[in-house]
Amino acid sequence: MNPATRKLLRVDLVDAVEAEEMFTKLMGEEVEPRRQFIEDNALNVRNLDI
Amino acid sequence: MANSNGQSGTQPAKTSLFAAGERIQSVNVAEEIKNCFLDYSMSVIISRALPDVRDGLKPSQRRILYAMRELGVLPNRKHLKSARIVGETIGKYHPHGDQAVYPTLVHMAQPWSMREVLVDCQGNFGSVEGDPPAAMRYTEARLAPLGALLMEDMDKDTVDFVPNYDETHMEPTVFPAAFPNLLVNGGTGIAVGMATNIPPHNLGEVIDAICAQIDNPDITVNQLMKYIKGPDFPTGCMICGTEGIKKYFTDGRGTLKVRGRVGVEQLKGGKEQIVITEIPFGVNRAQLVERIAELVNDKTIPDITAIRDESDENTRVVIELKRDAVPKVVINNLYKHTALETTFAVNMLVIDRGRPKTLGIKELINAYIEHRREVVIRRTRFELRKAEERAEILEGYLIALANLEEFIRIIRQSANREEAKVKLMAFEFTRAQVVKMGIQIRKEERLTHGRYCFSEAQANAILDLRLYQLTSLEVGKVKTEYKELLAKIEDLTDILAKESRVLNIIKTELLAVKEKYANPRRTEIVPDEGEIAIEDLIANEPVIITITHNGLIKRTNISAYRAQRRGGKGVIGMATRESPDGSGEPADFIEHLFTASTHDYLMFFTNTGRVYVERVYEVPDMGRAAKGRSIANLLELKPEEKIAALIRVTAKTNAQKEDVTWEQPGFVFCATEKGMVKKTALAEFANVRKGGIIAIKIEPGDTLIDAKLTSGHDEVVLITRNGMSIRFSEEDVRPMGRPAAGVRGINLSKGDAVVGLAVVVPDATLLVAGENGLGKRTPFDEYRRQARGGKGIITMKTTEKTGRVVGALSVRETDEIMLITAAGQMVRTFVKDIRQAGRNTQGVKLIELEPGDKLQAIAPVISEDKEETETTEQSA
Repeated sequence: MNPATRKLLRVDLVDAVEAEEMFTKLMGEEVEPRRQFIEDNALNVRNLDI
Repeated sequence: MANSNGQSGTQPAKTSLFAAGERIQSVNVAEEIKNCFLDYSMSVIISRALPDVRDGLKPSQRRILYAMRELGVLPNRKHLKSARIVGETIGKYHPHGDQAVYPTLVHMAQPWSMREVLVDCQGNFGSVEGDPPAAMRYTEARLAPLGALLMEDMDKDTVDFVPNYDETHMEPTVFPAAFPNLLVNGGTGIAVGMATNIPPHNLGEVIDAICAQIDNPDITVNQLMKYIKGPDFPTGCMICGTEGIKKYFTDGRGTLKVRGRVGVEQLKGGKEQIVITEIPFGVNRAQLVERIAELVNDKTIPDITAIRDESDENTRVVIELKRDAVPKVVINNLYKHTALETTFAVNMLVIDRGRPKTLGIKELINAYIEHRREVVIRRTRFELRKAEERAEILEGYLIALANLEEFIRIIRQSANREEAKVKLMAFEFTRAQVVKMGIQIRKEERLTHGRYCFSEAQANAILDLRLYQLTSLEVGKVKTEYKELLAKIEDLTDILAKESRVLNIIKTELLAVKEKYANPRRTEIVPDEGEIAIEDLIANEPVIITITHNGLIKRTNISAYRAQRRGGKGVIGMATRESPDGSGEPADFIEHLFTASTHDYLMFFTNTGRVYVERVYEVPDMGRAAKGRSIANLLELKPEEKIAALIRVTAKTNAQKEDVTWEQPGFVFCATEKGMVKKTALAEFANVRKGGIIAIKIEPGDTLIDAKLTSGHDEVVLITRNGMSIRFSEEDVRPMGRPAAGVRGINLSKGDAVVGLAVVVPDATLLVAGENGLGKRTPFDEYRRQARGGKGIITMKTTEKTGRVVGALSVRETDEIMLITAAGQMVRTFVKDIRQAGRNTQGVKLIELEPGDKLQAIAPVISEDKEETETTEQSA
């Protein structure tokens, strides 16, 4: 966390509609869209905790 | 950064959180949550919640078992404190909480959770009742034989090892799995967006199926089902139907109906009790018992008198029944309302090659065979390598022994070991020389320029030889061992070359496991008998239903009554409740008498115009002399309500055995004491709540006196207390909804009230009875049809002798009627014995009354043989 070397990420709300859709899909009641999303993006995983 | 103290003016420039020239990167929240969620969900899916298709273990289970092996708590060793095992697992391989690891260990040791336990426990590991295990500092564990079997051959380079979380140890990515743990023990798990639920199976059956699939890779699911009959739960129980089994065998998903095992025991005195000896897999027994008790308390299953949990190691829950209860009906209700019947939704989701997949049984077996093939091949390679290394050393010995004198001389002349080694390695032998020494050249590469030289390992081994090994006995041993090794090397090489031998080894090893560990199936698979309707369990037979003035109801088999002649004294129908001290409190007497079949519906109309519907079989079955049970126990009557009328609605089912009783055409025709009438279609009563619904709106001061079932084109007669009557067509009364009040039926003179409602039947007569036991019957033709709402005409000449009219019935020549007196005497008599008379007459004596007794009511009786031929006939 040395200010000289660190990089900070600022989380911004760019598109409220898109964000809302994403949150509903990932944390909403319905399971099916979430499962579909996981299947579609399974290969885009950055780091796995195994 | 908050600067809320209002002294901002005194402070100089705000200090920023960020350094000057700080690198700040913006990320979109939608993108960020997407990536974070993916990382999380894939981590859970791949390495937490789902079992591996090869060894059937989740990472946490595998790490515990591996830690136990590394601790050396093998099946033949002493048990070790669970805390040690958990600590070892957490410290070396699984950096998670002990609250997560210990329950995993416990689960693998519970015989009711696992078909074949992997861990052998000592101490309180919980129970099937659902109570928790003792803390891990008290309990002890070691590997169970099958748990150790999963890791057999693991040190023969059969599986891949990867560094642990801090790269200080190595851990296996999968176990060699010498038995098909995935299918045998099943597993459940909830990941993100997907979950798995695999039932356990029988070890012997699964092994047979695997062997069959090895022999015939194109085996069909149907053929596999000959080996694996279905799931085999550790708690036994029964599976109803094979359809769900076939479904999940085929594509990995299916639903099973699982039922506990229930028996009926006969007790002394003809009583019976239900005994539950097995409960469905995954059901908490304590909760099941609690649920049954709940059902008894809210009267869903009223036939249970007591419930006792007599379980020890074996389940035994005893349910005591009332004397007249039908055990099958109660069992059916238990299946319907409790976890004694549960559905098991199979979804065989597993991790196959790092991806979640839902697989059918054939694919699961295939994945296991593939895994075992790899294990066997890797093990064979490992053994071959070891054998060749040993053979090499032995070759060195053989050469050394053949040239012993020379070698000893060289060694003695050497200054140190290094020199001796160099000198030894300088030796060269021709092919012919070494073959003569008994050495077999297995690979041409072993020779350099056609000569055999010592390898460094060989030279070292020769230098390490001990003197005793030069004895002739030891020399013989070396020769024998070398010969054996050569044979072994040949065998192992052959295995690697021939696929069929690998498969044979898999089979042989599995069959050996089966021989040692297989046990008989516990779960019985029974045909699905479908939904059992209660009607299927209760014979449809005619009964008489009585309701007393004080609200006691019962049903009695019709054969308990016998037909008598007119004028007889009758048999005692019911021990009516006498007032104990003659204090003027009225004695109880029968107010309604009714014939019906046990499957029929009964509509109970109350004096306040509400209606309740019950099945006849729900009315308590009692002897002729019994009083009956309180109607309040049967219906949820309101305090001021009394039953005014009963309608029997004949049960009717269509070809599909669906109940279509309420779809039958017809109307409910109601009459009140003050002369109001109303008709409502039968279909409006199809959904009567347990608490009753309104059938007719009753004005204050009025009461409902009767209700009849009509066709819509019938004619009805209203009969009053003073002997008046009016006949009119029900078409004059338009159908109305249930809550309506109706229209005027008869214009009553002062002090008069309606006592009877009869439906006109062309060839029948109207029977009118007075309270002094006199009665007469008159053809309906003598009553002319009038418009409704008029004053009507005389139907019985009421005098001192006859008394006032108590009731009127539409009767036929062949009918029988029941006469009921206030004292409870009942006479069943034939209608044909009552003379026909004109309208304006007094009639004949119907019953010999005791002094002071009065006729209370008359009711029709439908005899048994007539019942059969006229099932659609409406009574009442």
